[in-house]
Amino acid sequence: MKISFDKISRLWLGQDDFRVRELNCGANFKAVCLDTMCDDAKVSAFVLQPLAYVENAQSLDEIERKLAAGTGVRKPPNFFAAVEDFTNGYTLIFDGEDNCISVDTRTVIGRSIAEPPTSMVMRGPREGFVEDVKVNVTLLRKRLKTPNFKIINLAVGKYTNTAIAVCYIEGIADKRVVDDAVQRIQNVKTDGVLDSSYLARYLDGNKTFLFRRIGSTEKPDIAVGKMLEGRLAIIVDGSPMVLTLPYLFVEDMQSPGDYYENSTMTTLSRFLRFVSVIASVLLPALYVCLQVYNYQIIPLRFLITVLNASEAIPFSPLTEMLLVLIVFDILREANLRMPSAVGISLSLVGAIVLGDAAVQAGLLGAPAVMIGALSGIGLFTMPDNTLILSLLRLAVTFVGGVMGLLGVIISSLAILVYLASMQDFKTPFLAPFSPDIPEDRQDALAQIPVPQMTQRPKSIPNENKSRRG
Amino acid sequence: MKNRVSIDQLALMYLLLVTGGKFLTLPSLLAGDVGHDSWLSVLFSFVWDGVCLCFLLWAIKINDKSKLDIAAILDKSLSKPVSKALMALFFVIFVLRINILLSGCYKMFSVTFDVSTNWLVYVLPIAALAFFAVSRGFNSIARASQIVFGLIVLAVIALFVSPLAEVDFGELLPIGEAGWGKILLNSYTRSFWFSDYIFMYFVLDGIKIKKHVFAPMLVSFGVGAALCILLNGVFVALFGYLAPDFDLAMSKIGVFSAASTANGRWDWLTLSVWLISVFVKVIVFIFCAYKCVEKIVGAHFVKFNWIAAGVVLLTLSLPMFVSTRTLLDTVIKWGVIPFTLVQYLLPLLMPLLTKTAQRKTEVKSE
Amino acid sequence: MSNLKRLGVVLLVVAVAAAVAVSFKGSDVMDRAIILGMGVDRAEEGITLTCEIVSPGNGTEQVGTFSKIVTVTGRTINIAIQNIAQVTGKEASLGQCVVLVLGQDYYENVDFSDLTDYFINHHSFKESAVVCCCEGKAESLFNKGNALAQSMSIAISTALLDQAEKIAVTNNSMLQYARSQNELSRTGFLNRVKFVPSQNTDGNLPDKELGYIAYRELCVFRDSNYVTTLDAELTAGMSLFLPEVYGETFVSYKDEVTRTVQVTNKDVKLNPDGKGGFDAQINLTVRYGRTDSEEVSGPVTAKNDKEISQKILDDVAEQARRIAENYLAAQVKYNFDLLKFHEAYRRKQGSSDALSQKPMSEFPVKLSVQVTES
Repeated sequence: MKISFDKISRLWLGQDDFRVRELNCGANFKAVCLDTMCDDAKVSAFVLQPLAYVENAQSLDEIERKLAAGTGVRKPPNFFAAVEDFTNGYTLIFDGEDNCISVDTRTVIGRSIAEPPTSMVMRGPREGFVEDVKVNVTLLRKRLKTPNFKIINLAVGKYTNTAIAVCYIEGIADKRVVDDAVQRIQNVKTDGVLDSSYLARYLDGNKTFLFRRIGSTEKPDIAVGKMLEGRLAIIVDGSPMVLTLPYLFVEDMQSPGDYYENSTMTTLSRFLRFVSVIASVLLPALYVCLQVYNYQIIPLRFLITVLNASEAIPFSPLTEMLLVLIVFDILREANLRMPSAVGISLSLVGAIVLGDAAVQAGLLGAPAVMIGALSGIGLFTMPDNTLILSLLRLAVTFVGGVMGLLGVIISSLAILVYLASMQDFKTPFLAPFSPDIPEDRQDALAQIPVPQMTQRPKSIPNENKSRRG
Repeated sequence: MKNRVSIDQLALMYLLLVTGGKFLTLPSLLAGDVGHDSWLSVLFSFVWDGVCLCFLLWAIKINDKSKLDIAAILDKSLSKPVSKALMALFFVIFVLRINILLSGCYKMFSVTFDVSTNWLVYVLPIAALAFFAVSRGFNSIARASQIVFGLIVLAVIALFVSPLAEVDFGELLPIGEAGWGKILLNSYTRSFWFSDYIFMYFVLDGIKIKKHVFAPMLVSFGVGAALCILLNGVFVALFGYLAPDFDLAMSKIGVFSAASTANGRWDWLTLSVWLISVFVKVIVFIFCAYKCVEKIVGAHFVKFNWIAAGVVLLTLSLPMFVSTRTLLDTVIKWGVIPFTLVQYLLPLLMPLLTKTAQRKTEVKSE
Repeated sequence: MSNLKRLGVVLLVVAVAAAVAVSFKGSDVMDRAIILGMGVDRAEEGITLTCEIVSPGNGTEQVGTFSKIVTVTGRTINIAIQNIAQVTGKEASLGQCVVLVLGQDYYENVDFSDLTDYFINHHSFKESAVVCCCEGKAESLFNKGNALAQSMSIAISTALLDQAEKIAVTNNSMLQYARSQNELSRTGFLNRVKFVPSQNTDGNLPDKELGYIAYRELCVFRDSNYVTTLDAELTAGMSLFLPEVYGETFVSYKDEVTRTVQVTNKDVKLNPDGKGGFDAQINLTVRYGRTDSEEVSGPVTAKNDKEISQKILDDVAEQARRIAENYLAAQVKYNFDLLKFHEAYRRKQGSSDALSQKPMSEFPVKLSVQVTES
């Protein structure tokens, strides 16, 4: 479609922030911009001031030469590109024959770089991504001073036209994976992408309804670390969460600070996370099915404690435990949505009034409340998956309560088979444990010291095996 | 593609299949037959299994080039009718094995774990799990086994280590008291519980071979066989003359780990972990039975076929009409001879059959 | 249509889940009378069964007062256990039962093979549970729980499993006993426990009965029929042949003063001599008993700095030989085989009727005892 000043002015007719300035620099030129998206100082410095004393320019090429002070001056190839530039805050300069050039006068609105609240670390960099794609790319490039750091710029969303940057390191990332990801992004047909999590849904080839299949991070150091292993980082404008792929289940067990701590401590804490997650999902189910079917397994003195505590409870063990878990989930959900000051009092109300009063009133047994709470705390060692694990916990508890150990075994196996069957971007979800890739176990649950990690993980497709360049 | 499996995964899965299911009712049956020499009976069964396994692995190695599936090999080397008859025989074996395994588990759950329910409701969730796994592909079953195998092996070891303090292996003396002929014959009559390698026939076309074929498979076979022989030895030594009365070996063998009054039956938790291997075995055999249906009708199911699954599911209702005792005393007792065909004769012929089939395929393509 | 399909699938899943949920039945632990221990006595109509049952308190009660005693009667053990449900209103559960006590009148006069069979074939009952006999009625023993200030069942099982395992001969499981009645000699033993009152020094509760459980006697059974009771000395004689049991004490007056010597280690060789008899070599390692190590022994116990004279060692050897010979004489007299002589020959020759019926008098034993200081 032909670029035309008339079309642009028709599209924004009646909009208060639509500004038109006629410039007489020999011939007649028109500069248009969106006031709300442009920085007045930049418009003045890069467009108006350089052109104020020009009197003999006859063409846009001459105008372009006069705008040497502007860093981003270009000729949009078509009308859509011109509109995209215009909506992003560029100033368009038209000549009388509907040719135009665009000058970068974007305003910088957004928060400054700060430590992300979701991934605080004791040690290590404290910079976090922000909502601006340009700043985010800068944060990556600051750490990757190599020409092999490549960015593929895309835009998604019929109305939002959100900028997407697919970043990878050429020579490390597998080109087929890059092409596959780009292809999937290009195939996205949607009105708008407001956050990277929208895009994650489209990128998930398995259409998983339970587990996350695309990683996300708020920290540039983590993103670069993952890119150095052969992964892609996908930055979505307007989102501080940068997507990384391919993604492994074991990444859920890893925390941002793991690489800045002693590897032995990291190994221990990863095992602790793993055990607590497994226990969180299985503990309530085991407690219920042991009470309903297999109380012989419970040590005698513990059984007596349970009997003492449960004698007056009006519910069956299954109902009691489901109640505890649901109340816990409600509390967690409410806590998330409350301002932090109210959140603290909500936790107190939840813990003391509900928990203690329920036990005192004989509605819930103390061991059930304790196991529910223990299981709940365990879930938070894997903060990204708390919700889904909580759902699984409820399901396994229900099945365990109904069918006993048989149910626990069947449901656990079903979850395992489901996890094992997932594979995307040529990467099995449970790698490096299943399929077993011994070389990759150096940084899975256990971690060897960083200097000894000489090879890139095999689980992630890559073009260069050695980490030594 | 979904049914591809590496030789390492196959080896681990085979280990689970060897140990899964052999500790339900088999040890007491063997103890009833040959007394304290039951471990010898198991040993002989495994020796013969080992020989057949080697031949089958040889066939797998030969087949690496052509990646023919079992139906193609049998069709080309023996003719289609014979191939279909053999598939039908396989189907019967798998169905019987699944039913015997499930009835053992049913007994375990109802008697030991106090879960009272009817057969149908018990079988349905297990079948649902198995068909879910089949629909996700053999690859996912293999991968899931890879995750749980370490845990299961530890559980098995924990189960027979705990009563070791109570066990006097002198009870197994004198060796061969029941008579060598009887022990050997018993190995044959109880062969239904062995030759777990038969599941490999149905993944022949999907086996990825890296370097070694024999080493990983034989190691896992050796470990599995050693665990089974040891566990039978521990069982008979522990229960002595009473062994034939303890028909759920695994649930009883760990009782002494919980001898102290303060502890509960923690051994039942390890027992539950071991039960995962029985379920893996059931899933694998259901996969094979499903594949048998596919081969018998001569189709290739690209997507999960509900009709084939329905046929397999129907056969799981067998114990509702025929008691396990009748199955053991009649069907399996008389079925041992035809079963020998696919359990012990076919593996020995497999290298030859595979080569013949390959030659015919090459001639055809030329 | 797609929505209808989805609704249909959801309804189907809910229906199947509901059907499965309804079809699985477990017994909630609260609906069970959890039996900790059982005592069996003879009654006119069959047996009297005394059970110690877990009785939950009000949630704040401490361990120690958590059980109650229930007594029922029945023609068989099965019926008696079923009758517990009538008394307690809950289904009886044997999964946590730690001890089974046979009353004197019962074990001396009744063939209780059906009782053994019942418990061995009962899947819930642990074969590792302690089985023993008691002096007098089992019911009255269970009612002495208050005098021990703890559960009688736990007290007996702790005594026989933990305290006594190294200092007295114990037959600590139902399985061991049941096996002994099915082996070639068909003889086995059970510990005989009794409540021994002790002096009450508690000024606050001067009338309260106090006491402890004694367990150093054995009852011998053949084919589940009572044969005899071995007193403490004969039991000590038997224990000399068992390498896993040590801690026996001997008292000697040879040094003009009374000296107590304790066995700290033992090496026993009891092997068939090939001529139908046995060679028995008992090597005892002893040291002076210490006041702070009463009933606690073993190689790691601290030494006493005084050396034991040869006279005392010889005296101990003589005493040991005498009690061992007394035991061997008793086993010939009553024809019981607790040291598994028949079993030793079975392992060499295989089982046969001739071996099974061979009396103990036809197993001559050549005994030698040596005592050294540790």
